[in-house]
Amino acid sequence: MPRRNALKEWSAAAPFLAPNFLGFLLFTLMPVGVSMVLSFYQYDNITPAKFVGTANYHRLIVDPKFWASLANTLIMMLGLPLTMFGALLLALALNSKVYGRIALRTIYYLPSISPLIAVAVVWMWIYNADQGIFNSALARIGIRGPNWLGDISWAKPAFIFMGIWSGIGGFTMLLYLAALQDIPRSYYEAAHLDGAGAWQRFWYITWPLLGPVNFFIIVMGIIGGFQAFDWQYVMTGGGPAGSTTTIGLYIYNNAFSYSKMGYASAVAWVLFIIIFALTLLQWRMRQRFGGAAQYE
Amino acid sequence: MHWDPNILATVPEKIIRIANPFTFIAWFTIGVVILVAWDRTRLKILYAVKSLWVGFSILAMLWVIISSMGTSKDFVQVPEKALMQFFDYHNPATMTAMAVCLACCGGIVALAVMLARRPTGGEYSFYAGQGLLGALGLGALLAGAHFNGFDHWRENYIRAWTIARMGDYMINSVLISVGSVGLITLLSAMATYALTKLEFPGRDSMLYLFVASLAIPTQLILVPLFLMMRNWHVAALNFSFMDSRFGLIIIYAALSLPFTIFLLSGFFRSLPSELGEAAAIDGCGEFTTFSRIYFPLAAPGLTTAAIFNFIGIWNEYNFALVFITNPDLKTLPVGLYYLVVTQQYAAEWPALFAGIVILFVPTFLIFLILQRQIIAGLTLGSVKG
Repeated sequence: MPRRNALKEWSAAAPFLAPNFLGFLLFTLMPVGVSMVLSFYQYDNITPAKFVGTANYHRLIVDPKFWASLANTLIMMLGLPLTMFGALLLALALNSKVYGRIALRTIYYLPSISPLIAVAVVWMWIYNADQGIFNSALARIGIRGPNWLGDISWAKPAFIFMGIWSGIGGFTMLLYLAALQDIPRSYYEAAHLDGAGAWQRFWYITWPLLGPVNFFIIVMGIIGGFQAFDWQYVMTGGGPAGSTTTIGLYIYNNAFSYSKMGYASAVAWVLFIIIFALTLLQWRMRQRFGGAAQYE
Repeated sequence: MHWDPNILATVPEKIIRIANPFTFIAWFTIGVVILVAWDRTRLKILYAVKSLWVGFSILAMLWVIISSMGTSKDFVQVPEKALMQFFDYHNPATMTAMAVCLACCGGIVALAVMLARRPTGGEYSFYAGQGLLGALGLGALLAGAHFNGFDHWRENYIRAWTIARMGDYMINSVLISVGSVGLITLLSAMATYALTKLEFPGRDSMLYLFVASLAIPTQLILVPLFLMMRNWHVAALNFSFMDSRFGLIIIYAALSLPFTIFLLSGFFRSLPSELGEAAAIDGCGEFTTFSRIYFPLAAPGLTTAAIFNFIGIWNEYNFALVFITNPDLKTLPVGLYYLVVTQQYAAEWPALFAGIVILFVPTFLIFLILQRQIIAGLTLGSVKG
């Protein structure tokens, strides 16, 4: 096709892009800019904003609550390996010929299509200290279960377990399933002829070929984990004693409960930088993996 | 073997030490790894994990439905008791009704399997059959509930629908989700078409800008957006983004665009460019090419994107919580959230669970009916793009 001049090309594309770009500018780029500016101000929602330079960031470095919420966020990501493991098992199950795959797939998706608020309420009752499913099951074998969401040492594992339940089905499993279906059958047939067992076939063919998708899931899981907010907000409000306050919740509380808009923006920027660095890392690695560009 | 609680009560420290939360997770992981390594064929453990997880999910869902049909008194009971009482095997009427219900579920699955195995055409009679069986199953379930004392569903749902205002919130939710999904689908299809099928300087950097914005956390946007919109008011139109359904539609649409463009770009790239070139030779402008060729061709990908966005926006409550304060304009998840918050003072649990069912049923039905399109579109568009 002969190259037309740039202006003409622009005028052809502009009508398609203008409404999108306007929305993007107004609701994404501008808030990001405002947030950047706000992070250098002290603003409590009532009195006029006061420029404080980098004071918000200085305060952040010595704020034990910030570091605690960062640690909480990281600890609550510990379920990721188990989530991946479970998702891989489900994908392997779906990949083999099982009866009722359609019905199973619907149930697999249950956690990811359920309204967050409904999941939170159901799990609040599962974890209930006196009448919850867990504790009434434990009571049967004579163990008095902990008050899951009200106990400093058990609240985080409770969220980890919930995250595993919710993360196993849905998108993670689907990524594994797509990756499994991309592996040529001939590899397995050749291995079978050479006398490799099921376990060897998995370990020497399936697992290495799942490398790129594993990496993708890990990075996406960490990015998602850093943004954890909703369950903690609804179920514990960040308690007990701040032990389930994630970074996202810390930002939200600072902004909307303590009216520290400037400080909240500074913390949000730190979170943004972490997530952006992880995203960049993932892009770089994907280029290194070469053929793995399919998981974009 | 009978467990004497007193014996175990004497060694709680030891149990707590073994079952310390983090060692517990470590033990669990080690146990699973050993089990898998030991099970050479992988199959047994695979099905065990799967069945455990599926069983747990189904039980939780059943429990929600049952709880929405009982009274507060039933609810305060231990959940397993509620389940036992619901599936009361001493009561022949209940058991008959449950059997009918189960048979209906089986019939729906059987129809789905038959539908999957036959060539295309005439799907609607299958769908009608499934709908009929679903209605019959639901009727049997409710009849069974009538025989075992869980017959309070009518008052629970009416209370949720009227006093807890779920009916009003449902209207808001439907208007907001449908409006924003329609807007997103049209706008993102236009943008993706321009970004993948038209040539202009800076095209790739623009696509990268959209994709890079996916890394922006919600928390970063929420605070400044709230401050911006709070003070922004169009007096002539009496329009503000605060407390406005239309405002929330635009906010949702704008914030969902980058992800949707990202999802669709792979799909659009897989559509042949030759079609557009041929149309250009025939004298079609960009708009005709888009509306006559690429928009219809992209329908499967657009359906997937629309369903994903619908489920996300239907369930969204974070932005709705911040941008809607007028009780008349609340969406379902926000209404449910306030119901949860106020529940701690007034025990209306059955109505709350009825609210959960009301919130969940639309997404569940959409997923059930359209799951093949969702998964096909997703694997075609984003994963393998």
